[in-house]
Amino acid sequence: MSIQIRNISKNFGKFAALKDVSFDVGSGELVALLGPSGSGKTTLLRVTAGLEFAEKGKILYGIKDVTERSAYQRKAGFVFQHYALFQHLNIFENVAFGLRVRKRSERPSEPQIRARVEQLLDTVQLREFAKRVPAQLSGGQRQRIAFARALAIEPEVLLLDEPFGALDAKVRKELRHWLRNFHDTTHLTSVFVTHDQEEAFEVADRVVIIDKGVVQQIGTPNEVRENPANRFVEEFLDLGRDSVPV
Amino acid sequence: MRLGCAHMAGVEDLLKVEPGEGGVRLVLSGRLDADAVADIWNEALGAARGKVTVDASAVEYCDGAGSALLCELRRRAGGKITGLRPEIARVFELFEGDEEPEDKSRKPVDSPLESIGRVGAEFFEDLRDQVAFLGEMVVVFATFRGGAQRLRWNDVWITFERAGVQALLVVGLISFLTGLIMAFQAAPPLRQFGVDLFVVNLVGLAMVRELGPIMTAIVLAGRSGSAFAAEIGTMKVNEEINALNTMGLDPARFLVAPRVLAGILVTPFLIVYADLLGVAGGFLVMLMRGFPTAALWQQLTSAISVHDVMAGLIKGFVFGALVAGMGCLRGLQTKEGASAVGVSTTSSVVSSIFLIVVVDAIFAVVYYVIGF
Repeated sequence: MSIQIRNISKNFGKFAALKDVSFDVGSGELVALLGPSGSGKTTLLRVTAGLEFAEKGKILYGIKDVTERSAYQRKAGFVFQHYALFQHLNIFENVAFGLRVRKRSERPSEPQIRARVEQLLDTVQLREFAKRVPAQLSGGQRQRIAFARALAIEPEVLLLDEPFGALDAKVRKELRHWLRNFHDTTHLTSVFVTHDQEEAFEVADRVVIIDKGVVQQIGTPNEVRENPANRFVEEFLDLGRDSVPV
Repeated sequence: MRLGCAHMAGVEDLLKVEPGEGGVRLVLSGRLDADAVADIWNEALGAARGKVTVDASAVEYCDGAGSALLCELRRRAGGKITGLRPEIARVFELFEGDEEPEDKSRKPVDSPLESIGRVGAEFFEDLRDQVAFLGEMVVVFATFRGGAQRLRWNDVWITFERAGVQALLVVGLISFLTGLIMAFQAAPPLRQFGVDLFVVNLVGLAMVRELGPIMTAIVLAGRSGSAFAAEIGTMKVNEEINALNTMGLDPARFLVAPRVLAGILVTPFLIVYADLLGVAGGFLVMLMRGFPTAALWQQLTSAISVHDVMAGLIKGFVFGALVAGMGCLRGLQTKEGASAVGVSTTSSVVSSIFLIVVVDAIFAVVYYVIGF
C-alpha cells in the first residue's frame, strides 16, 4: 500500500516543525527520512502514524484518507527508537499481544496465534528467548522483538523511528542488513527515520532529506549523492562522510 | 583629576556631531581610551538620536572602553560604524555580539499580577482538559462495542480487587479511629447537658453523610488514583501507550475505562464498610462509658434513615469516578523525563483531594436545597 503525504505543516507553539511537506512512498518501497536532529523527521513519521496531528495537509494510505484518524484506527506497524516493549509481558506475549486483543470474530485461534508468533520469532531469530521478559534481552534483541511485535498485526505499512539509534555500531550494521533482506522478501511499504546517511544510503530505495521542517531533496541514494539539490544537502552529506559513526 | 587634565584634548577634538541624512553623524577621532570615553560618553549617547552614522576613520586607538562606546552607539541607535582601521576593527570585533545577552538579561521579571494571571490561565487550561477528558469518557462509555473496543472486564475486576479489597485495612482503620475520636470529643460536652446518647446521632450522621465518603475517597486518591497515574505515566514515558495505539487499541478505552469503572463500582462498597466501622468506633466509646448496646442501636436507627445512607453512596459514585479519572488523566498528561511520573503522581493526589472537597461542598448545597 502506498503512502501519500500532502502539504503537511505542524507547529509546536511558535516553532514550525514541518512546513508544507509533500512526498509519496510507493507501494512496496523502503524510504529513509534523513536529516540532522531537530529537522522534523521524527515528527513527520509520527504524523504519518497518527501519533501526532498536523495543522494542515493530508495523509493517505493507498486511496484512503486517514488524516482525521487516530493511530489505533490506522494500524500502521510502528517500531520505536527505545523499543517500547511491554515490560510486564514476556517476549512471546509481547509479540502475541496485537493478536490477542482483536475482537473475537477476527481473533485467530490459540494454535494459530502460537504458530504465528513462533514464525515471527524465527524471522527475528529469537525463538529460544520466548519465555524471557524484555529486561533480560540486549538492545539489539529487544529491537528485533519490537519488529516482530509490529509485524504480528500484519500492518500494510511499517514505520520505523530511528530503529537502530540506540544500538552499538556492530549490531547496527547487522540489523541494517537484516532489515534490507527482510524488506526484499516481504516488500512491505516502509518508512524509516535516521540521522545516519550511511545507513540511509545502504538500506533505502529512496531517501528524503529534511532540514528545518522542509524537504530538501528526494531521490535514490545515487541521485542524491551525485546531484545534491542545494548547499545544505551537499554539506550535510560531506559532514556525514567525515564523521566517525557513533 | 591631574591625569585627566594631562590627557585632556578637549571634547571637541574627540567628538564632532554633524547633521547627517535623516539624523546625525558622529565623527570620532584621536585616542578612544578609558579617559577619553569617560569624557565624551554622555555627550555621544545624548546626541545619538534618530538615524545615526558613526565615522570612526580618524580613530587612532581604541581599547575596551572605546569598544563599549561603539557597541552602545550601535545598540541604542542601530547606527552604522564606518571607517574603522583594520587593527581597531579587530579589537572591536571581540566585543561584537555581546549586546544580545545584555538584552536577554533585561527580560522583565513577572510582576505579582502577571504571576496571578499565569497561574489562573494554567488553572483554566487544566479545567478545560478535565472537561474534555470527561467528555471523552462519556463517549467511550456510551459507545462500547465488541472487539478491540470492548470493555475489558478482566481489567475491571483486577483493578476492583487492588483498589477495593486491598484497601480494606486502611479504610477500616481510619474510619474506626475517626468514629472513636469523634465520640471521645463529643461525649464530655454533651454530658453537661445530659444528652450523652446523642453522641450516637453525631457519629452516625457525620460518618454516613460526610466522613465515610470523604475518608474513603481520600484513601482511594492516595492509594489507587496515584497508582493509576504512576502506571499510566510510566507507560507514557516508555512510549508503551503509543505502542498500544499503533496496535489498534484506543488508550482511553483500553487503559482508562476499566479503571474508571472499577473506581465507580468499588467506592460505594468501601463507603458502606467505612460507615460501619466508623459507627463501631463510636459505639466502642459509648460502651466503655456504660451505655447498653440495645440503647445505642435504638438511638442509631432513629437517627439515621436510608436517605442518609443513600446520600453518602451517591457521593461515592461521583468520588470514585473523580479519583480514578483524575489518576488516569494525570497519567496520560505525563511529560517526558525521569521526574515526570513523580510529578503526575503527586498532582493526581492533590487535584483529587481538592476536587473531592469542592464536589462535596456542591453536594452539601444541593442536598440542602432539595431537602435530601
